[in-house]
Amino acid sequence: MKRVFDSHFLMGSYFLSQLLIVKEVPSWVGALCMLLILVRAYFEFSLGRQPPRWITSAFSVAFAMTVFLLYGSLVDLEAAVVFLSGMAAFKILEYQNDRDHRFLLLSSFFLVPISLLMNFELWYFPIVVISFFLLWCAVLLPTGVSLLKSRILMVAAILGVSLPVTLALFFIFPRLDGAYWGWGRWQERSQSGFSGEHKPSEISELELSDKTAFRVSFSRKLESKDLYFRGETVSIPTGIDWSRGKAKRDVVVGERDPIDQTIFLEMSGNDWLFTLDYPRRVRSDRSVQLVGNGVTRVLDFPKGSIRYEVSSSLGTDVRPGLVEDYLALPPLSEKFMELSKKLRDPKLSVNQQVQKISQFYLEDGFVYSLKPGLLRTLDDFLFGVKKGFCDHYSSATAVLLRSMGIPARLVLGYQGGEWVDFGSYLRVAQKDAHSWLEYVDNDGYWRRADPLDGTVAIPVDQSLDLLPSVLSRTGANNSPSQEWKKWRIQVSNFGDWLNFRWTMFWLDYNWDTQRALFSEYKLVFLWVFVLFLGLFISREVVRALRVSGVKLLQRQRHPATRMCEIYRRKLAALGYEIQQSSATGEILLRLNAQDRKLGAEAEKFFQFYENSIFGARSFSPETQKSMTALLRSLNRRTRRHYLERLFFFLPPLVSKK
Amino acid sequence: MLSSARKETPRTYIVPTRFGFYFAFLCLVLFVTAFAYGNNFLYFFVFWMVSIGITGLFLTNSIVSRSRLVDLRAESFFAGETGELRVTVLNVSNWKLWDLRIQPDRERSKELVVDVIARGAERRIAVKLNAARRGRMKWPDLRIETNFPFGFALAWKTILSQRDVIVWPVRRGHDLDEFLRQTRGDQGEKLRGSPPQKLSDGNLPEQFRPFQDHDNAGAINWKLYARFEKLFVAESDRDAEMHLMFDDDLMSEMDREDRISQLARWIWEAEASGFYYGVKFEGKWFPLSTGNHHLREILDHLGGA
Repeated sequence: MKRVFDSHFLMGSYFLSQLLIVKEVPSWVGALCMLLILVRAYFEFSLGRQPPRWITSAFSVAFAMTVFLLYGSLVDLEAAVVFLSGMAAFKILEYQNDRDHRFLLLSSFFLVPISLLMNFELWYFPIVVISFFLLWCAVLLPTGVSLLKSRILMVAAILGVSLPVTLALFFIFPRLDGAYWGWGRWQERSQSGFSGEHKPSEISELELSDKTAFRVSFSRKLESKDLYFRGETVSIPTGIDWSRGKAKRDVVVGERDPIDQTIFLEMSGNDWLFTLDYPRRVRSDRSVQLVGNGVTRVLDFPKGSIRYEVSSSLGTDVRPGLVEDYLALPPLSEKFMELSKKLRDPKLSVNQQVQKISQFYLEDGFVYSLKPGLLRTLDDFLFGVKKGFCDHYSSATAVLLRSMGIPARLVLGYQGGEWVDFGSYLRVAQKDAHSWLEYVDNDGYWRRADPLDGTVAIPVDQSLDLLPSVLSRTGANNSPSQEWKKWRIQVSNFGDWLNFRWTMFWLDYNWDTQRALFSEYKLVFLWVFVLFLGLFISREVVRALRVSGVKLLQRQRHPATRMCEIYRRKLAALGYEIQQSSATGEILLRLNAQDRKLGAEAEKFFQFYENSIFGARSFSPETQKSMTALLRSLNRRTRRHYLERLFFFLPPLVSKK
Repeated sequence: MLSSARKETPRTYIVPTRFGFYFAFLCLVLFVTAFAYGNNFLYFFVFWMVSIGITGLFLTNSIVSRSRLVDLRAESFFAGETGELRVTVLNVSNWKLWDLRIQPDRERSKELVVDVIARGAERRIAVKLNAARRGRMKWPDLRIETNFPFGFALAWKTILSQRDVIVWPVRRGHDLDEFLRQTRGDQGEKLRGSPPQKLSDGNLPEQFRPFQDHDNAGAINWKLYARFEKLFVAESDRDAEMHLMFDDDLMSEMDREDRISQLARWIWEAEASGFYYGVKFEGKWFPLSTGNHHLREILDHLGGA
């Protein structure tokens, strides 16, 4: 079979597409695919032949069976991607003719964009574009354009030309909700949710991730001690876990220290919103609501990221709606009750009592660890391993307080974040997930307590590779700051800013955004539409007139005639008396009388013109070139003439004979 | 024979290829996926693929519609031999033209590929012509096609020409030299141009001879006619050279087609040998002369007879 195409571009593109999906497929599949491409490259470029087909066929069948055994199917998304990747790699191995080439092109055209179902970060975009570009280079027929540079330039030109249409389609096409709308995005981009049935392990998982949860811009600067973003309040302890419960709403008594925030929450797949303590008002394009106890929710399922504005009061006095809602205790051991009695001191105020409990953790050898092992009860934490993270400390403190008769509850959210100068916002990542407690002080108001806020420096388990922010929260981040780390942070911040824009303008472009955009710019769209309609109608009218034989609008003149008219105009501009009716001979006579050189040129020009229009010689490109050259020569003369007129006080550039 | 293609611009047709259909189907699948998953990333790439595909189709169509076949020329040729239809492909677009295939509409095997033509440039190509029999042959319809750049579609247009070319008779029969050697007797003398008869009038200048049927009427000396009341022509140098008058009456025993073919061969060889020759064929006289024009005139007549 004929082989016209070469495989360079295809292999390059396929290699890149494998890089895109390598983390989505089992590592052995990724390694196998890349190995097969390298083997093929060796056969193609070193040995100059193809491996025999029977080998690749046998391995393909074995591979298909392996995938089926592993996944139990070949049509699940992941199984299908694995299967297709492997099969395409085997196909590359046995690549022999143009039919193979076209088959591989189609499968790559499927594989490259389909990897975007699993990857949403901005960084994938350039890789996909490069892979896509190489694919189109591989599609381009090599007959006419065989040079590598020409091929690349041509494909770049075609891709560039088609980009405006792409963008128009992208923005205009209505984004109606499909069956699997936004599938995979919340898994990939953000897990900024806990659940109503809160388990400590959820936070430990989050704290190991550097993905952005949300971004906040403030109306004024804040200190780090104020950066507590509350999400959910849980009030019913069930051992070491907590559940939401139905507590009566808090009563806000007074407001102080107000602050406005604009929060851009990444798609999370649940209905929680995060706000600075203590939220007072919330506003958004979507249906959002303060549901009480400092909890804010979005009422409709969030499609894409959510932008909302919140007014909070940092110093608000809030009373619990019903104190009894926050005194319930889980089943407790005698040991626990003994500890509670030991720590309780009636002479101390509630605030001092909380500090005493924190001090107890330090004195009793407790360690901060994100991997404390399996902790089933509070006793395991308090009397067993004595290791844990924010959830364990807050949870134990809250239950200890309750056992002392002090109302307390657990708050889940985020604490801290990194300030991003490029966009002037605070980036709060998953690693900033945190839980703390609130207790009712002697005045009957809720007060925040965080056993890990750094006031009591609980030692950190050094065997774990904790993220710097977590270390900093525990007060254990004493590593010397290095210049390159600062640079890395700067680069990372810039990357986050880009990603933020990407999410806002690209990933979240949905039906609502479209409607908002169109209603905002409807006049512009209307005018553009009217303009295009007008142009279309005019074109059709002109065409109809032409078809019906009306010659008035026909302006199709011979190019030689057009050039001749220009030439005559230029001669007139030079000061020669040339009328519309002047015959060529008459013009030449005048020219020859005053400037022989110009006369000779003009004679040549008119000869070309007459030959083109009336003679047997056709208007060939050579003729056109010669006429253009003569016209340019006259142009130069005209320019010189103008200059001489302008600078009349200087001697002439060329004296007229 | 010189002509240009028909003035009306032929319509350009475009149809998707099988690969184009597969690609369109793939775009549809990806579009449905993008729609179902509401994935803007995927939407963008699907729209880009579609736009590139459409741009490709536009380019495919433009390459064909912006190519012009001008200055079509076909020279007469002998039947049973190969002639040429020379064509100039002109690029009238503002970009290059790639991968143009030009072929006679019914003979795809004679495909000619023009890889690239620069903007405003032209390329000359020659399409082979074959004919088994003499006569008037219509120029073949020429088909220009391309599937550049991506092979998603095939665009073509057919240049219909109303012109024709005269196919000269097959050159066959006896070789002229051999025939002259063999027939240098009675028949041969008739075939050979006999020296003109000398007039018996004593006072006639030596450089004149009586007018014969095959002589050019323009060569008649009217002064001598006034004097002798007979037509005389000047006896030129060529009368001293070999001159042949082929008369088909002397070949009446031959089949008509064979006769025409034989004449075609002889006059071709006579021209090649530099002889003066004339032909009398079915009542039509071609006076003694030589040269390409004379040869073509006779062969055209024989071809169309």
